[in-house]
Amino acid sequence: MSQVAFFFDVNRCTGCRTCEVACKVENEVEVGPRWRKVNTIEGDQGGPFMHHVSMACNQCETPVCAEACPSGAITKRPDGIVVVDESKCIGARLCAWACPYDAPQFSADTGKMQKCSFCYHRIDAGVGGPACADACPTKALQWGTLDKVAAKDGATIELPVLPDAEITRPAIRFRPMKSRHS
Amino acid sequence: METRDWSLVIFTILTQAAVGAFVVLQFLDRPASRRGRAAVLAVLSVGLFAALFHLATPLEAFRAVVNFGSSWLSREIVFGSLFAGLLTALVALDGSGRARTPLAWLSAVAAVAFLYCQIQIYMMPAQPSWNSFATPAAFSATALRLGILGVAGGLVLREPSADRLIRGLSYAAIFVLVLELLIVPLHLTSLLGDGSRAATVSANRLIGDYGTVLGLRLVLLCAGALSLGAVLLTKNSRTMRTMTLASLGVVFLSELCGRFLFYAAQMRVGL
Amino acid sequence: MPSQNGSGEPVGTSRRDFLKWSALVGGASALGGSGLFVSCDGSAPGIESTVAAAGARVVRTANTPECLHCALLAHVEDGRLVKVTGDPDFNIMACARGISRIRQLYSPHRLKYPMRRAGKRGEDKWERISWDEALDTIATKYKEILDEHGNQAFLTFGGTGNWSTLSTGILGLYSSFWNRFGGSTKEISQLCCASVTEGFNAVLGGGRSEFRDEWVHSRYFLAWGNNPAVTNQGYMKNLFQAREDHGARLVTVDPRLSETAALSDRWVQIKPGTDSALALGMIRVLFEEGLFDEDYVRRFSNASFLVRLGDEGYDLAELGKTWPAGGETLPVDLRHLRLLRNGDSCMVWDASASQAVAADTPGVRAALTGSYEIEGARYQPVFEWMRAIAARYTPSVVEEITGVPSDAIASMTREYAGAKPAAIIQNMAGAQRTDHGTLTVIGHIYLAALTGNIGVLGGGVNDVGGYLGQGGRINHPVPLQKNPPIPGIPCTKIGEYLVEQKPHPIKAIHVAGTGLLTQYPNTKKIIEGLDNVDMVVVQDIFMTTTARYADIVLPVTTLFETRNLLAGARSRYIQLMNQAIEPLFESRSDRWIMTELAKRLGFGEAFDKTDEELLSYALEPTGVTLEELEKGPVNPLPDPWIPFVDKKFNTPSGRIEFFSTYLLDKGFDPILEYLHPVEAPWVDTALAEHYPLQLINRKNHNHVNSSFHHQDYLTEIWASQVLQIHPDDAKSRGIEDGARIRVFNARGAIEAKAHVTASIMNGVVSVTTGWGAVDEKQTASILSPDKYEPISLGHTLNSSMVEVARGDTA
Repeated sequence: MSQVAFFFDVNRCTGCRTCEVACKVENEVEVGPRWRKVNTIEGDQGGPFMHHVSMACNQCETPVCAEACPSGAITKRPDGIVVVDESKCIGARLCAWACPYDAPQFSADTGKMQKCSFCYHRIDAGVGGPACADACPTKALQWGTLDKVAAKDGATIELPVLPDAEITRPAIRFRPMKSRHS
Repeated sequence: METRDWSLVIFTILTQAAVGAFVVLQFLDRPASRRGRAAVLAVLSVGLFAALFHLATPLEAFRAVVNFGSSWLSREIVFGSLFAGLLTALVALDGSGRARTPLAWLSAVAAVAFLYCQIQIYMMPAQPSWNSFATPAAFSATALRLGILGVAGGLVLREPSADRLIRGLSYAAIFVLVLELLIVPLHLTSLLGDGSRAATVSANRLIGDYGTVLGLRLVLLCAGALSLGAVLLTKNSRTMRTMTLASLGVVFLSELCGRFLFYAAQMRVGL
Repeated sequence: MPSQNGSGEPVGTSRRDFLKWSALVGGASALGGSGLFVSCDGSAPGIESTVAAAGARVVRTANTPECLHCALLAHVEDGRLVKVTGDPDFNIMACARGISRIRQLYSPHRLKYPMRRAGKRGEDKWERISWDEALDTIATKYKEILDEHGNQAFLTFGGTGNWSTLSTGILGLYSSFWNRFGGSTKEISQLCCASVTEGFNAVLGGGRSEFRDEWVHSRYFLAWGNNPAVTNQGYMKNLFQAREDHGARLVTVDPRLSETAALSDRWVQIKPGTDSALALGMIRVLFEEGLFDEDYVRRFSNASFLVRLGDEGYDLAELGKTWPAGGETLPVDLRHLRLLRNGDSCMVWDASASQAVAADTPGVRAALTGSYEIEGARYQPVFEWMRAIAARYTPSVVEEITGVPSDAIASMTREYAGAKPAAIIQNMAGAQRTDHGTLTVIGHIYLAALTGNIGVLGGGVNDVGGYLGQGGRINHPVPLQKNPPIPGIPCTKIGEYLVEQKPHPIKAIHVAGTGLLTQYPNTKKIIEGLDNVDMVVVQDIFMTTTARYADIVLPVTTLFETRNLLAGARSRYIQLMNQAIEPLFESRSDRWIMTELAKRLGFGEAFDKTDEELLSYALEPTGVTLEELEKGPVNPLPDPWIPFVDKKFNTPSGRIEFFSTYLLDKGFDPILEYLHPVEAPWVDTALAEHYPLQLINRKNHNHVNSSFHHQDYLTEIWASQVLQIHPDDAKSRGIEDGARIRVFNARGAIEAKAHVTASIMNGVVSVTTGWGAVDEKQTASILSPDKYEPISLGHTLNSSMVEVARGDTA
């Protein structure tokens, strides 16, 4: 069975951060840890450019966080969702070091790791998918099974600003920014 | 660098010193090693204790061995504990200080495995400043440097007539020191040549934000080399012994600088 | 450490707890056959899917400030608000601003109980008082002032912070209150949209024109001086769909690389305040290359109407050739143009009959060009004047004025004219908050009208939206009475007039849901003016900057804690805002406050009705009932919506008036001609010695004007006022990226962080408008000029000059 995955279309993202806030509201995340982050990339390439990349936990096919965690607090479900059992976390922070995407977040209050859970509580209850994707006003951020997501028009696993996808094989596909500004 | 990372600075330096010193003692195979081993055990224990403070919940540290199957940290703790346990047994049961006993060999194997696991923890593709030859080189060199100088220091304090041995150790120490003076620029060049944003940021931190610390480290290494030179050149036994202890002190400080830089200059790949 | 629920209130067990302890439960989830993967093809799950757990009640409400008025779903469990989401069944999804409202409930900035000032104004020292004491104090003082100074001594503000029928904003209960009070001094014109209103009045006879749901049909989008990716983000999906479905192009005209410009196919950088020069440059290309829709122009506009200059007319064909380049003053006064009339009819030239006939003569093919002697005077069709004016805006002249490269102008125009239907997205653009903002808008309307884009599906000038703007009507919830008129204060002149006590002394200021000290220009002047005012009352949800200067603050409920109606001011939908939870602390609704005050002031009877009665009365003209609204939002407009589809305009001629009789009657040029801004470095060179940089004000995703600054989920992402500055300008001032800086001019100084970027023009800097509702020292309105646009009396905050320096002492 194919695992779950995110899809992100850079061309549709306005950088509004609704996904970030929807995640915080849905998961009641305290101020501080950010399970999902929208990064604005600016530069100059024959003229200034700007685009945004929204990233949470990519539920990687080979989750290095789970490998590195000494207490086995991180496991991967059959549907691909990588979950943290906070009761087992001892705050060693190896996961945060190992993750190329800055997904693990540490709570100053509890000392435990927390991260994007792909809203598995919604999936398990059969009421929908990740709150971020459901909230995205432009449908830049979507979700589905990895095989369907990878089959979308123009889908690619690599994005220039991101680390080599071979490190962890993230379960996310992108539609990169079409070069414009003629 | 987070405050908690200081506990890792202490932990890695002290435990690597312990591993290095134990291996040196094995190599020397002298009866007086019994006392040396006790000292190694003390240093190892302090180092292991310091590591607890890296965890957010130290009282649950026992959980850290659970993921031995894939986590290098789990493996490091297992082998570290094994080393500590075997060493304790060695100190408690074997008053001879002899090196070629099965228990001693086992302890040595555990020690080296412990060091190997420590190194492997940091070989993470997401951290370019760690994921290179520099980490195994630096950790091993720390173990050797502090091990050699630690034993030399112990000899100075405990054995009035081990001058030749102390000088011999100093030769070895200088060699390892000079090696470090090569590793630092090689590591920097490789980071700058990497091209990735993370590697460049790390390099810039080393040269820029923490340039003073890097400079201090190199100065201390040179000072260490000089004082070891004095150890080798002087005919005066008291001077030689004093300079040996001075070298240990100076090199230990340079290790603190170096390990601080190791944690402070880290930069994750990606966004 | 007990966990906190979504509203920040500590609870025993929460969804976070559920997550923490259940990580390994349900590993084999119900993936396969549950039909969950609907998002893969872009369709959204239905309302049931937003329910987190069985037992949660979902309450429908809507987002009130002057934004897109998205529907919101409030999820309530055991009387607690646990989650806020958008409504996937609504035409657009709510954004970070709306859903972050859950953090308003327990925000540390929240006003919890009525308070009286215990120190100096602005000192932020308060003593708690009861509601009775607060209302009695206010009523007593108001009666006193009323007796001694009359209704005119009351200056009242009911802004769009809580824009709903039983609260503030136009057509709200707050307006009914002051009307029944006998009237009050109010602001003349508006900060937001005065110039676009007048632009539409001038050429199209008024009205708002939005077709955002119909953007899916457009083939071309010209976002001119505004940023729909931020201010219309819910509707951007329609734009993207047009792009994907039929290759629609997006072009943005903006001094900075805004979020919209960054997504565009083409970005045209322009000097602030010069927009109508670019428009005229494009109009010239339309004429030169015959790219305008001649038939449309002839039939639906007054371009063919005959005019003469002065009494004898003007030899435009000859003398027009001697006219100076664009941007320089014309040798003629366009206000001397007169239409040729015969009784009520305007006249046009019928070439086949070789005479002037009434414009609406059936079958006539009116001339657009030519010069005609009629009764001893020389006449031309309006079109000839338009052409002569535009002819002076050659590419090199336009480049000189606007900074737009000369080779871009023709290609831009050809693209725009060649892609129909084409939408100019104007939406109360920042470009119309300039010294001649009305002309900016008229430029847009000219372009759309000349290319036949007005009144077609997916085409035209997209102004701000809403049922009310498209001809809908609602009543004030309490009907208005007739009062003697009271002269108002131009909205930009509040400070100056308070200080000078013009047009009459103000003794009381009552502010509800308005950022008086963060939106209105020249803030320091307004604060100075407060010295002459005896009583300042602020009713708001938060201790905003404005509230800090009050004598009495009254805590208002959030929209979850009261019932209300949002009747389509900025959305086509009429929405019932249902109450989700009981009011927290001692907060009360605007509706309750106004009713209680009304009772104490002797006119409470009209207000002392049930919400149902008031809302039903307000809804009467809409034809929509409360019962219908209980089921969900209702859009009373036809679908699809095409503004001006019948090509009938509310102008004197019934046509698009390129020659605007509206403007002529007001004493302004009737035909579009570019005028330089007043406060600009190339115009006011003396001022530029001190303040050489042009300041523009942008909007970000985390706020609507001064709203939404009090929610921690937003402030942890957007933490500071940020000034965008070009690397050259930064370098010469020794400013590094991220440095703390001062931005200042003669009106005051603010603190900000510098963002050094090539995405803004050299010589132009940008701050965020509305910022500073929490921190006064970062408030952009301190720098804003209080001059007004001559036609509309509107805001000119984007015709402003500043200097920037290192250091952060403001």
